[in-house]
Amino acid sequence: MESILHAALEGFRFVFSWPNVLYPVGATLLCMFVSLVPGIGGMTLMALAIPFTLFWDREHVALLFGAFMGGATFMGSLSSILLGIPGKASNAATTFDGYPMARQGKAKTAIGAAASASALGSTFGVFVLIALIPLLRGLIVQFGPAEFLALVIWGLTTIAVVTQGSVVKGLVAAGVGMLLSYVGYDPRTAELRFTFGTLYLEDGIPLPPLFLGLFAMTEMLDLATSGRATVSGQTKAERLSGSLREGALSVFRHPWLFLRSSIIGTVVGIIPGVGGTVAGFVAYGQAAQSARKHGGRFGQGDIRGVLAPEAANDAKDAGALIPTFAFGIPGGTGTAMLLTVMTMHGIAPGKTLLTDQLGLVFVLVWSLFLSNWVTSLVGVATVGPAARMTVIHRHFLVPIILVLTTVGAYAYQGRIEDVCLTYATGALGFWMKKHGWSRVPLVIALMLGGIFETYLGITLRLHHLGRIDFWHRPIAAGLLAAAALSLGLRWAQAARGRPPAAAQEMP
Amino acid sequence: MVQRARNSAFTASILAILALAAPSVRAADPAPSAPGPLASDAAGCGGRLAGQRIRWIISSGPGSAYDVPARLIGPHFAERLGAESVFENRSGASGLVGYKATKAAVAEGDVVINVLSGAQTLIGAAHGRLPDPVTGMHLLGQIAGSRYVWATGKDSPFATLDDVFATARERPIVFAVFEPKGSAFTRIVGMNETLGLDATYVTGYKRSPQIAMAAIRQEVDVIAIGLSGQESLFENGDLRPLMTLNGGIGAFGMDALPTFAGPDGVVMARARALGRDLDDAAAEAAAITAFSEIGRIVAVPMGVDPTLIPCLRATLEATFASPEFRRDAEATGRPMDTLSAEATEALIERARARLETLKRVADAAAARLSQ
Repeated sequence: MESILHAALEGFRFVFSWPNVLYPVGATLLCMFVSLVPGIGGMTLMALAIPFTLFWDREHVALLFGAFMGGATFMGSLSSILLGIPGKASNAATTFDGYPMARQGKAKTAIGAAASASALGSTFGVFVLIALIPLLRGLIVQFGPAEFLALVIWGLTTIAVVTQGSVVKGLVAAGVGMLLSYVGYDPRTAELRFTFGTLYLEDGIPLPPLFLGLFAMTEMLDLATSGRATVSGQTKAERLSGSLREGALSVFRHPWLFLRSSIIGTVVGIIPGVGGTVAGFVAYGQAAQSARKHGGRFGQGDIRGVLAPEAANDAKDAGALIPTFAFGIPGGTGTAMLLTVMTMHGIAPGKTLLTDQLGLVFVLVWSLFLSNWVTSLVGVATVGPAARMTVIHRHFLVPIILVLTTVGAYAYQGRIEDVCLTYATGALGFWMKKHGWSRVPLVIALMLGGIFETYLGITLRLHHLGRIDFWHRPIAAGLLAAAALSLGLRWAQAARGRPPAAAQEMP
Repeated sequence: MVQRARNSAFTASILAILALAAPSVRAADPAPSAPGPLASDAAGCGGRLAGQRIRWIISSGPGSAYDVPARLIGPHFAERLGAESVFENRSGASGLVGYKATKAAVAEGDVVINVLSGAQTLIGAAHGRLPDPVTGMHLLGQIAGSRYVWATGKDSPFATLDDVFATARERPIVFAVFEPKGSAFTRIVGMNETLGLDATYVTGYKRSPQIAMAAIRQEVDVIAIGLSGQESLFENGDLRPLMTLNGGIGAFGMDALPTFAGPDGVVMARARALGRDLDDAAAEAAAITAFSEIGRIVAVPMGVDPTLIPCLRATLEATFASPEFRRDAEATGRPMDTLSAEATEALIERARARLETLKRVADAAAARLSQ
């Protein structure tokens, strides 16, 4: 452990020394800037950087790529809160309470909460990584398809927790979401499903254009027809009631919630292939569950609904590095790119990296850490101008956002079908909103349905072949117990007739 | 699309500034030198592409085994022509999305090069989804080969391939594979059938790392995996190699492993043991090897001025041979198994000769899975 702390300290000194600190800061700012341009994100930036960094030394490459991995995260949170548009799939859960807060004129509070939860969540993830390094390899092997499946099931129970009003409507929306997630190839047999002979649907429904429709377009159509002049209902920024300080300090008012969410994020990050989407939903679900006991207003602008997914989302980043370092198993596209770069620079993941080259690991980890803090601080610094978006008159805001939505949908893959999908889901979302159908169950089921199906198929097959015994997997059993507990508590609350804590009118 | 390319160029220029500022421990390495007009003339281009933009449309995601070689070759290639390379990733629908994007780019009047999987294209052509890689597009060559290995987890009871065959007599050997009907599935199923190994499959894995973890956790017995990007798993001993497709892998002691094809290969030994027709077995092994060795190809869609093709082919070959490119390729730690258009064509034709057999075997295995 002493050598780990020494390496962590050495890595910290390297990253925060002059002029090295310029690399993560510059790369983060660049990443934040290009994230504003449709069609370019952190991944594209990483791909572009590969040939440019071929002759850099390893430490500076680690500085750069660590920052790229963390740089784009918070921008997604900003748009989630201000406009109800999740910048990335992993930010979707933040919209559920972040956007209602913006509508109440509390955008600053929500942004402050998101910034502090992100920065502190990232810090938590880094320290857990340091503590777990000696145990990492053994830990990762314990997570197989059965555990992935149990975790996704826990994520799906969020639907029961957040669905209010008509249970039937919630279940129907979730069912539609599940069906949509099955569009494309069956992962086990490669048979095409629900594609109606179109090439476009063969790879499934692409999530970014769908989000643009279901969130951005829906919210703008709602704003255009609601009679409200602005998102917040206020026409002058001075009248906004939110406070950045209040938001930033909210993490300390809900320490256990922050801790639980950060643990969820870190654990989910460690599991390769599950990703931040599950982390956000599971964290949101457990926050909503616990808030019910104390009469929360989830879905109507509860600050805990912002804290939980944001803390989990950033805590997962350090966790996601663990399988990449320990085995060379990337958890997602970002870590896959990182692995490519590591290989190019002769850095082999595994035992050697986690013992003899631990200093290099920490250069990357601290760079990621710094990047997460830089994004949060820049977010805080720009909170004033950002919050002004919520007082822009709808006559200006709606057409601008609709144009950007259309451009963004097209820029995703350069396909007109994506634009059509955005418009279709925008119309669907608007209809759902007007008729009291929550979009949350649909989104959760859509995002988790594909992962659920994949791991259900693999788990059943392995169980059938006798390669695993699903009923004797303690971690999976624990996760399923947590899912069952969530449902049980929800049922008990409903049976006692407690007034619903979550929103009647979810976003 | 044009905007995308401009955005990429803009970001690339910012990164270039960062690159210039970066300290390098390899400062002794000379900077890549521009080959100058001589190389362009030698390729017979006569400066026709000077100052133009060449669009590389990569039919897979950023950072993939297709993307990295293309991004390394592209700048050297363009420099020789006095042109500029820009890159776009268009993944999806087994290469069809990328191919459609190249056709659209041609319609816009651009010089465009598509980077795609040779085996996938061959399978796609057989199903009428993609044009034939030899006759339906202008093949420029292979930019990276594929080195496949059969492996098992470090705690697996199988020390050698013979242990696998011995166990196969008692129970089915379990393989982890990607989705059925794809080129990887076709290759693995083809190898199993050729070896007379009555294996069973667990499908649904999305990426190579997931398959590797399945072997490490011993959920499955054997995996067939591309070496590229997975080297560390062998170096660290997390995976134990059992067989290479066709040898030639010097790293991690793999030269000592049995090879699938060849006169002394596993296929021939199994054919003798099982009493199979040796000529048939050799032909099947050659077809599977060729199918797997096609690797990542680069092609220009029909519609581009055909008089440019000889120039582009010659430039690509000159790029492969240039010391500057070789040095960059070596720096990546990934061998660039580059081939000329003619050599790649020969591989494709060799695979095509037995493609129907491979397809039939793969379809039969896929049908069993869906029952």
